[in-house]
Amino acid sequence: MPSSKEKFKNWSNHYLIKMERCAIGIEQIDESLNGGLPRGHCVLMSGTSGVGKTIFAMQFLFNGYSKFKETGIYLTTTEPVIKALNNLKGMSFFSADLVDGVRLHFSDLRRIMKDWKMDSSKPFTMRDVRQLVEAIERMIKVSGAKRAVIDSITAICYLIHDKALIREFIFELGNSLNNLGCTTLLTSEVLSDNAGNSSFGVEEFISDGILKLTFKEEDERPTRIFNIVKMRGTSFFQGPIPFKINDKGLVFFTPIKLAEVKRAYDEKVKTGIRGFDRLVEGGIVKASTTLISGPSGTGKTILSLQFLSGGALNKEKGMFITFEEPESQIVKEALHFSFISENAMKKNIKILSIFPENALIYEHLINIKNEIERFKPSRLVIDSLSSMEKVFSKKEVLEFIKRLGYYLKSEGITAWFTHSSSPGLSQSFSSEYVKLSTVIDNIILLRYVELDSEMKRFLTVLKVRDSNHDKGLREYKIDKKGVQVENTFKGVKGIMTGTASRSIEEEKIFKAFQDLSSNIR
Amino acid sequence: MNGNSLKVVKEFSKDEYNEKLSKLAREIINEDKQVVWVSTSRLASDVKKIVGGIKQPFIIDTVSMMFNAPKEEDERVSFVSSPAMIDEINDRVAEVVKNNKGDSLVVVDSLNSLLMYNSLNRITKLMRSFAVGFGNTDVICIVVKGGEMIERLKEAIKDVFVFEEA
Repeated sequence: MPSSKEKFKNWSNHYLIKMERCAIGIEQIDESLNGGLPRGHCVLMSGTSGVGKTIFAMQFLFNGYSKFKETGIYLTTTEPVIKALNNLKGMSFFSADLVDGVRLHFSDLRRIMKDWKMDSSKPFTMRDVRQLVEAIERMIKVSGAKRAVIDSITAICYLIHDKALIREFIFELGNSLNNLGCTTLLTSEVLSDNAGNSSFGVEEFISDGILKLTFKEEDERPTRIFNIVKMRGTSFFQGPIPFKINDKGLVFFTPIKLAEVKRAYDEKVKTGIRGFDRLVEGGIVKASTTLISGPSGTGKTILSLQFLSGGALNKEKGMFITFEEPESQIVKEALHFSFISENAMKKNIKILSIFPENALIYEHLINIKNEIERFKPSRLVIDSLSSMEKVFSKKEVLEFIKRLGYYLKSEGITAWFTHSSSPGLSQSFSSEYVKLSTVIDNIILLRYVELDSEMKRFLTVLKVRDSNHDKGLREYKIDKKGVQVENTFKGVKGIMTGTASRSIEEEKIFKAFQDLSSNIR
Repeated sequence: MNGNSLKVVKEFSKDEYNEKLSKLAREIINEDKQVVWVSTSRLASDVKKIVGGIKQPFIIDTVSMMFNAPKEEDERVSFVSSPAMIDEINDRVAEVVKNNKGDSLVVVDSLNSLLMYNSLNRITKLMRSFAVGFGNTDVICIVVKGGEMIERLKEAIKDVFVFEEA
């Protein structure tokens, strides 16, 4: 005999799995709700003015018929129906043909209440509340609507006024519509994002679920955020989902999940950079993430292109995502060197030029993920994180690296992220990224140093996961063949502090060499 | 049934509603009779699109005012504030039918919308008024199939209307 605890577990599993869903028709939100709103639930959708509540509600109704053949009813109490419909013109989910009173029915509750001789100048009585519930119930019954929107419940609450009656109204309405199998969205207006989920404070307690739409200011950029605050009878994604409003309606960008990296790779990947692989015991680990940090002009882009061409030589596909330059510029830059041919470039390397300011950070993540799924690269370069920092906050960029990094690892993609640091030396490495030690496996620093009246470039491998590595400061040169890593600066001290000088012995030899040279001349 | 006049309830399925309605409109609009179209779910401008052709019906629009849409400036369009104003609808139809010089054909699109805003008893009364009170005027009511309330309405008016599945 199962124990009562087991019985409850079995029952709850059955209940959660079997509960019928009413899909909204927006993939990301339905996924976040494990298939949609529980059928028959009365759900409060809360938000400030202009955040997108009505558009979301309309998507719920129009998608309902066009995707699932479910009739719907829209009852407005805030704005004229014609205005609400006109605002939807040009949106891809909208179809005027569906507004035929049969498939989708639109009605103005204020007008109807007036025609029913309900006196809205006085607070509603229990009788009025019951009459209103009955009237709405009749509309749902006759229309056979499986979806209903009341926009807004706040306006009705202002008519009812009394909190006990509001509670009675929402409870009775929810109960009645649930019995009819009608899933209902009640929009709720709040004055500010911090003002709770409802104007009267009782709506949220009596509803089966709460969806909250808010504005968030990030570096003076307003971003709209969707949250599932509560949903009875189902598990759901608990976290903010950024969204924007465009001609498709509300478009959501569910953050890429921090996927568990199931496979740890041992195999090494040759970078294709001359002289570099020997610094890291033959190559970097497959599916690792490398951060290349250096000031402008140190060759980060060339190094990254060379890394992709190293893969292309073995017919591995590579993707170069630039936030800085147009695609044509990157192609031109790559073909200037002999490490890749035009043919190999066309065949194996995809270059994507993205303007960071054109989308939300999570939108970029999803777009990049989609591009990766289409092209299936083995190597990927992001050039550069600094360009993202100009548009997004450090926190957002860190989140971007973390989520993308985990995704790339789970897909077995070896990635290089470039970062422009200031020309100074000692302070030049961004310590913020060190915090992402679980994502950033390898760190390479590129620097300039003035030595013997000449600016020289050097690199050092600061960190390599699961491998020993050369700790020296290596000079490297950039020529027609690309980057060539050379020897360490022997007999030179103070490079990292920016005060490079030769040791006394080196200085003596150098002086003697100079004297000899002048004597010969 | 009243004399030789036609009192029909045409039953449409939800999916074919628009298509069947357009077909019906094209058929009846070319008859000699003056069509009086009671619209309970569409604006007068949308009814005109459905009907098409040169000959236009007289439209009693119960939607525009509810939608707060601009009123059509057309003497052949009359407005009622909402489908809930059933007595007003009855009076308006009676007035138009009376003023028509020739025979009239009244189309009610649809009983579903009327039933959404009014009790079964009130709709039954209206239907009986249309069936009996309008004498030889033909009446075609549209109903979209489905639901207990519609079945109850059909039951209540089956003695005065003929049902046709379109």
